[in-house]
Amino acid sequence: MITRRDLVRNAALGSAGLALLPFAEHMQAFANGDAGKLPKRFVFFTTANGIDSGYLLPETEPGKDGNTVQGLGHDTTDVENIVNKPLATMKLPPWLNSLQPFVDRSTLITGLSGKMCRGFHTVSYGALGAHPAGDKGKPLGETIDGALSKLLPGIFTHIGVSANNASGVSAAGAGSALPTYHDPVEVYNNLFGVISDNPVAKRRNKFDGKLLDFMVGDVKTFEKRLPTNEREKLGHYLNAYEQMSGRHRQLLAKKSELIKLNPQLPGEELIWEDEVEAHCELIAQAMIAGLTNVAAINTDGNTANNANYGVRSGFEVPAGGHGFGHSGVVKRVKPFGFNVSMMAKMAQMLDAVPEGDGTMLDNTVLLMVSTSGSTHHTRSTNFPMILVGNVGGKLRMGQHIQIPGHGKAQNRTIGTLYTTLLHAAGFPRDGFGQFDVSTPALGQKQPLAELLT
Amino acid sequence: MKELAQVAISFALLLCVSANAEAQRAAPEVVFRATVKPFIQQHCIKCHGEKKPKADLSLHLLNSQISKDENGGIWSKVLEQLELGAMPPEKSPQPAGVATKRVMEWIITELGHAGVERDGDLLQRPEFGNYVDHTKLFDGSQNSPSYSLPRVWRLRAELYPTGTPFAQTEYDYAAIQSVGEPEAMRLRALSEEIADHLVEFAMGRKEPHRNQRHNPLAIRAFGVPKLSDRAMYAPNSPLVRKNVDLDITDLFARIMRRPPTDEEVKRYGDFLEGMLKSESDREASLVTAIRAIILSPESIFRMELGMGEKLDDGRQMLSEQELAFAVPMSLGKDKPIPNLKSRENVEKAVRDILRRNKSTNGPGMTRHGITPMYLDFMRQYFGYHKAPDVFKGDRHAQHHIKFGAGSGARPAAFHLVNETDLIIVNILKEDKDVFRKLLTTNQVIVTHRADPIEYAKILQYAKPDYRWGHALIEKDDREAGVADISTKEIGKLVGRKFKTPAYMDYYGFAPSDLPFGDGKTKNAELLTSPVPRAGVLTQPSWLIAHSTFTDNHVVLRGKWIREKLLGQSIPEVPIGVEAAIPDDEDKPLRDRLSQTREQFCWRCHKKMDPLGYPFEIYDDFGRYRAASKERLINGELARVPLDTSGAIVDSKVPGLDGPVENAVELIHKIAETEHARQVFIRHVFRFFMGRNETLADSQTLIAADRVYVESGGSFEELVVSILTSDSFLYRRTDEPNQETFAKPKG
Repeated sequence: MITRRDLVRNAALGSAGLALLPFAEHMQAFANGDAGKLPKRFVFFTTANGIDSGYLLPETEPGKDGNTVQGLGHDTTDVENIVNKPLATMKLPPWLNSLQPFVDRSTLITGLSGKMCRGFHTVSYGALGAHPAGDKGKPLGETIDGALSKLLPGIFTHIGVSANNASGVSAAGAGSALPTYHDPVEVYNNLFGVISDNPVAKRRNKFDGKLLDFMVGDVKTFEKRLPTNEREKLGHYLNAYEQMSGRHRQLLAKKSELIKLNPQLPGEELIWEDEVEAHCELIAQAMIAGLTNVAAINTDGNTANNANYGVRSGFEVPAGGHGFGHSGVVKRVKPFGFNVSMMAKMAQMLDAVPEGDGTMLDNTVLLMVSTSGSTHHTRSTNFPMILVGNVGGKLRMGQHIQIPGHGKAQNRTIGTLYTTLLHAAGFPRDGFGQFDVSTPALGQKQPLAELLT
Repeated sequence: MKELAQVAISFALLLCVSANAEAQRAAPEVVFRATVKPFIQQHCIKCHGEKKPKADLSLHLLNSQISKDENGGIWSKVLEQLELGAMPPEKSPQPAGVATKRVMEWIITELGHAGVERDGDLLQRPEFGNYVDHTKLFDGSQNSPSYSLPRVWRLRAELYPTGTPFAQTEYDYAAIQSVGEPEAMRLRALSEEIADHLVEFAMGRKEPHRNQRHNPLAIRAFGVPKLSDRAMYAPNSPLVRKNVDLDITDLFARIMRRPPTDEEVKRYGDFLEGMLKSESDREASLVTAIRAIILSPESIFRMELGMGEKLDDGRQMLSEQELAFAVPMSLGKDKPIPNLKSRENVEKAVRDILRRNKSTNGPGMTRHGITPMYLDFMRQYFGYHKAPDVFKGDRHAQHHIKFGAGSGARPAAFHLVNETDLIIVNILKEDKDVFRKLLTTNQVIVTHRADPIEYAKILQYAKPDYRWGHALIEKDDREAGVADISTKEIGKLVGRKFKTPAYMDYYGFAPSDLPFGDGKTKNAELLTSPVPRAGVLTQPSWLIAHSTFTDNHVVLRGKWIREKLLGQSIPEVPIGVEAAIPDDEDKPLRDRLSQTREQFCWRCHKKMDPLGYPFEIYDDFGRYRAASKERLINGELARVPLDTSGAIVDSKVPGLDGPVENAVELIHKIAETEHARQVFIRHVFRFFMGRNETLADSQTLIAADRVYVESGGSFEELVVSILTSDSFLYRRTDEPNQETFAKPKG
């Protein structure tokens, strides 16, 4: 039986370079001679259950008994100054093997603190926002992907996807969560529905534009009639239609290009790994098609019922799923390894498309962080991260960076890292998110010198 | 439909509203120099000046120019402190209320002008409900008549007759519910599904099943639309505008539950006709027009603007049209009620709904014979329904029950929640002295479906590591003939009868204590607790919901009492504080919390911890253990004594402060006070009004309290009082000298 996975693998990976050629040409022409005009893109991967700092220790090796893993659970933050070493000279552990082809364009960072997030099982919006998680499920500020999406708008300002029905992690501002798609079919319909042969999709293409335009008018009339104190509520609703309506038009205009890209309709009711893979493929294709510059992929939820978790990769998940988070760093490395391989896959897809003097990957940063820092029950002192790609050479990649732990003078926060990304993208700010008053402020206002060229 | 025609004072009246778009803005510099600067000089600069400013915040450089990038954050912070009444600190001289108000108004206007994002007024958020001065609310000093601000309120998720487009939120507050892109996306998909169903049935391609349950939600909610001429929706047939209008009228009335106005018929008719003319797919055009009605703001928001009669004091009553929806929706119903023109009409309608709920024998919670919203309130107020969310891992193995959420049989935690529901329902049905009984009853309800012989048999062979879904008896034992019970037999017992009796352990019953049934019928027994209990706060569900993975959660329990019974507020956990109780079985809980007694922490923790310790008489599954606890010492199980003493401090209630021995004593002491009762009434008000109370609601609250006391503690009378109060019925805008709402004409 040919599964959807095989199909996509053949279509998207095996012949990626060929299938994407029209876009490659387009982009080369676009970039002709002016590297400054190349797009800048960011993809954020968030995972559950923490990324143990030991996972990112290059020398870490599986123990002889096959059970324990040297280095896992190891505290990498016990240093006084920031230590950085070239990644190329180090041996990557097996779960990072998929990053081997990109070793010169990857950077591993441990020790960034995020105490301002508080949190326990998950810091939700805090992981990308560097602000308190908020206990009512409502974001208390913008997240880095939300901020970047405003600065680097596309047809889709931002695309958020989340596997396993986990909630979204991105926000445009306080109280304003960004939309998150779950079902890959829904993602496909929203991104590439304009080229679908499905009769429902065809009807939608024809009539949704009319509906959305009508709604914009309808809500506007209504909003005008409200007292000032209640207008904002209708304003959100109106804005939603304006966004959807504008997007619909732009997608229709891009139809012929999208047909050439030939994205595949994902299957129904996928198991977890297939769902994540479908998400990654669709997002990569959306970037290649120039539909968006910023995306967030939440690969799994911490408290979600992970009954279908790990079927493909074969990790043992106890009945009910929840216990998995408690099963220790050794077991948890498996889903982590899978997530990394998905990140690598996306890197590979982007790397197959020439852009300017290099490839799309040279203008795209993929970043992975866990919504629960370094472990299942996070105390938010350590948020290990993986970065792959670059922003037109603005970032110093190919490093392993160890940041001193929380409370030390040289500690840096996740806000520092996000500030660095803003600098790299050409929109410098003095810090991002909330400052952690228990850690020196200077390091939070400036970008990470070790990472920025 | 006739009924609906009577409600048809239309929302077109909204057109009459002369909106107050830009509040008049005085020259910022002038107000700053006259009011704001002197205020800051007098009340702030001493601590937040140039030298060694407290909290690293200096205000001496602030000027009248608010800018988003430079000082917007600082101004927001200042405003927040003023809103919460947190600054100046209690010990310092306090500014006059009017002065504070003026300063706040200036900051709000200028922040808005500078485009600084604010997450609404903090005081409108549920967690800040207690910030309003309790004494002022109830001492009668606020004697102006009550009102609410005009508002639109997103429908509760369950009020959607066609499936829930929104995530359910813990608090249904008008101020915090908005519909942004994430929700609009779901609505857009949902509207397509609904419209497709309606058109399929309207075209006669599908016939409704006579058993409603087999029909799609859309048909159950709206019925089958009647099209004037089905043939018109076939390609290229002649178009008749009159028929288009008839169809729009029918569809609109079904979906909106009121007849459309002429303007609405024209608007939707134009939209539909336009599509029919230009597109060959006419059914898709019809689907699209239906979707437009479903997505209209009026389908998504409750309108409570106050478009009725205007009183001399500036208040306007909700109009007949508004009340037609506001009244039933406040009690979780979606069907509009016509002819509500006066307080008496509203009272009758409210009582009708409540009475009908009692006789309902339908599915879901109504089978309990109480209004479902009552239980929703109780769950939100007490929070016991969160017990299944507390992760307990396999710690529960000895109880032969899978504890938390997950697959397999219905886990214990859900049964415990259900049993608390039932004890509350029992109290609500009696409807006497409700608040005190909720807090002090020593009765419990245990549900079970087993007979004692079978139960004993299972206990005999159950292995300590048994969990649902696993074999009851080790395979080895069965093969060795140790167990005289077959797998099949076990399966039968487990599956059918052995559903619940083990839960009675939580309550302290032995199997022989229960009046067992026949093993077939499910019984819910109201029993006197064999161990000390005092109401919901000592129910296993509440104790579990306020516990951690391994232990009692002293802080959470204390916080609950401080906020929900004493009506005070605890600030958020300060930044940089690790708010986690260290796991260490060998140390008493009190020792592990020693950190909180350091001076910095104790300021807040003294308000929580001493209220939480008395609950140590129960373990973290809610089992009574008196004053000792089992613990492994050198591999031996031993009982070690527990300190369960605590204290009420800083309650600001005369005679209440003092030490307590245990939870039962603590709860009884508080439950007897007038203060706790009034705090409860404030919470009931918030739930049914969907907002925090303000000083303007003082008269409503005083009346509600009086009704409650005079009725002998009837919850129902309390709810009726709130839903017929001035706060519910009247709207007034706070904007001075602004006629925000014109009187309806005709």
